[in-house]
Amino acid sequence: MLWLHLHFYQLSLEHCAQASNSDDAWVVYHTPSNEIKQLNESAKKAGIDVGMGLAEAAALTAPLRIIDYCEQTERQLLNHLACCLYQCAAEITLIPPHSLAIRIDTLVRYYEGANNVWFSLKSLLNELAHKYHFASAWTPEAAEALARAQINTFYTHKDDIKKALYHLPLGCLLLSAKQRHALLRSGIKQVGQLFELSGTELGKRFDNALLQYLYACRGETYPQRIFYHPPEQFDDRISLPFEIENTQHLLPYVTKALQRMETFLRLRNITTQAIQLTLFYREANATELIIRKSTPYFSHSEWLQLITLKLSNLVLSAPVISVQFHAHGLEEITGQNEDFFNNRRHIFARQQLAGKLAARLGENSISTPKWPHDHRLHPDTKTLTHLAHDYQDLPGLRLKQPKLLSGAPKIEFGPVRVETAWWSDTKHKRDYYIAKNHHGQRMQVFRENNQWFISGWYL
Amino acid sequence: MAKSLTLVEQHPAIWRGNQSHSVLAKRIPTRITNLDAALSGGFPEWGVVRIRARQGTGELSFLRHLISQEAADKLITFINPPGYILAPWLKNFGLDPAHCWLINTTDEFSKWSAEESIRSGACRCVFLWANTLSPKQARRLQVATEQHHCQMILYEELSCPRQPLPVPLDLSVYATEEGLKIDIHKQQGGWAKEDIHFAFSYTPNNSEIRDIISRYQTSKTAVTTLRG
Repeated sequence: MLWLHLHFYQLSLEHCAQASNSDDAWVVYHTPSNEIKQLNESAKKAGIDVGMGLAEAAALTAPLRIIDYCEQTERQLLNHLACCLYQCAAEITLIPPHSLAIRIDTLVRYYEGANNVWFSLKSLLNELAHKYHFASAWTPEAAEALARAQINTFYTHKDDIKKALYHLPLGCLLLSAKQRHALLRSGIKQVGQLFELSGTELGKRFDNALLQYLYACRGETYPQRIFYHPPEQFDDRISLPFEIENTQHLLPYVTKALQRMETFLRLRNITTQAIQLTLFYREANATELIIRKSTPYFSHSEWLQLITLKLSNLVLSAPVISVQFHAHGLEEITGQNEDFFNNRRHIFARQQLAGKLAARLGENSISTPKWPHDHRLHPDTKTLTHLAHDYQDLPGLRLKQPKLLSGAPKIEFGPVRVETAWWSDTKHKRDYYIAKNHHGQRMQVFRENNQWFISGWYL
Repeated sequence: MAKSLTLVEQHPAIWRGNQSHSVLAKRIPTRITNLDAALSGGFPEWGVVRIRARQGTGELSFLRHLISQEAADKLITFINPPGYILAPWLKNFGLDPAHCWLINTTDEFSKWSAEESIRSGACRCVFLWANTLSPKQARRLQVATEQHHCQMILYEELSCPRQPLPVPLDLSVYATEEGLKIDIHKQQGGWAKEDIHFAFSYTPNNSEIRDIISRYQTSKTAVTTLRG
């Protein structure tokens, strides 16, 4: 058996649309225990850590934005995640509030290799943009222990798993404080030492539950697990991290829900004719909106257009605390609509292709085209889609390093001056031209230190 | 004799030059009148197309209409392009960058990646930059594209010697003063044709500014002559 454990350590934070793209420090705070549960990069930079109290965190950085931790929300988000991952894997166990275990060995035949399964899952998780710790091992218990230690490695060989597991500190196992203390007093600090002890010896001092857990970690017994089963109806309730007064701010949450609906419907070969959107308020009665379409459809972009129109006319009577989606009148697709079936294959095919390519060529070999971060046009992962409008004269192909120009091409267009990066040590001031040489090749050129360079080609 | 000929004609891989196009793959127009006429309607809907061109002569831009077709949610892969392809350019070109992948790998693996991309059924078009495709490899890719209804464009440098390949369409693209010149070396269901010229511009140029300057200069000289 091979199980993969995924621990999503900032679900609530990622759920909040503003927090993910913000430079401010954001934390998820659990009031009853006065503990910070999740935090973003800026908060980490300010020195805040998981487990701190609110007063300590507030003292470290000036504008501290706080989201309330709610276990119910985390469970919901985990359910949504499981529903998405169900595209790739069948046997998923939920470990609420924020972990999942996926059985890998049964999938190996379909993906032609354990690593292919992992890369497929990984590419799907990247698309969903979640952060997680992971590890694989022979049982869910062992995988969980490794993931708790943030090993972040996908093991396929038993020897590797054993080696990694034996070197773990005792704190990674799910033991009570009392049990851990008792073991530490007898000089057992690493998991390996504990595993070496015989069961009968341990049985004299500890209860049955601990023994069963240890046997499961060692991969000697396989406790029964209840697998996740996706719902038959699409009925999604989203609790919002804030009370929202403006319908504009609802849209990011609506978009995500519609994307989930699209996957849900496509996988089942069904379409919907109406979506019921219910907005819940803290005190006032809920508003129900029904959005209909004349032809049944599944694509999220079309539904989003309709919902955006509907919401733009709506004046909220009170701040919204949660939103519910329900797809009405699910219909099976008939044979007339062949396109639908053509589309359906791509979801799996793309994941499988990503898995295969990454497994053979290495993950760095495959990328999606990047939006440049600023006008220097180095590919960057940050998304700044607005740059598209400014660059009608962009070359199709940009060289990785500018190349020294040889020959004397004729300038056709330009100059286009780009002056940027004033905030860094290396200022960037260049005049770009489009030049054409005697072969008719068009290139983007610039001059620096009295030399001409080619920076790209117009394909 | 007649009998043996009919046997040959029944073979699916053998066709007559004047055979009706309905037997062959559907054509997708490039919206370039001269070229579409020479290609009897356009590029084949699937199959390998070899384009031999110098870098930067508009060898990709002239396919704009062909590529920004329907089925926009299928993948397009760019294998071993000689640089970065940036998302804003793809967007200007009419493609959704979210449905494009760039694959950078060794020459050997590039062909494997191309075949896997085609066989996955997730791609509608595969671009491969490779100069060393052997006839056997080309045939493998061609069979895969036919099975999975995928289009593949193979870019080859003009400087490397032209090897005959078993592909349904084989072109060379040259830049000329007013646009492009295309030589069709070989096409399935049609004849080879050389020197197909058409006007084509895909980059901005300074002609507008030059026009204004020249007009301004003439008016200035007119003023000075009037004053004089």
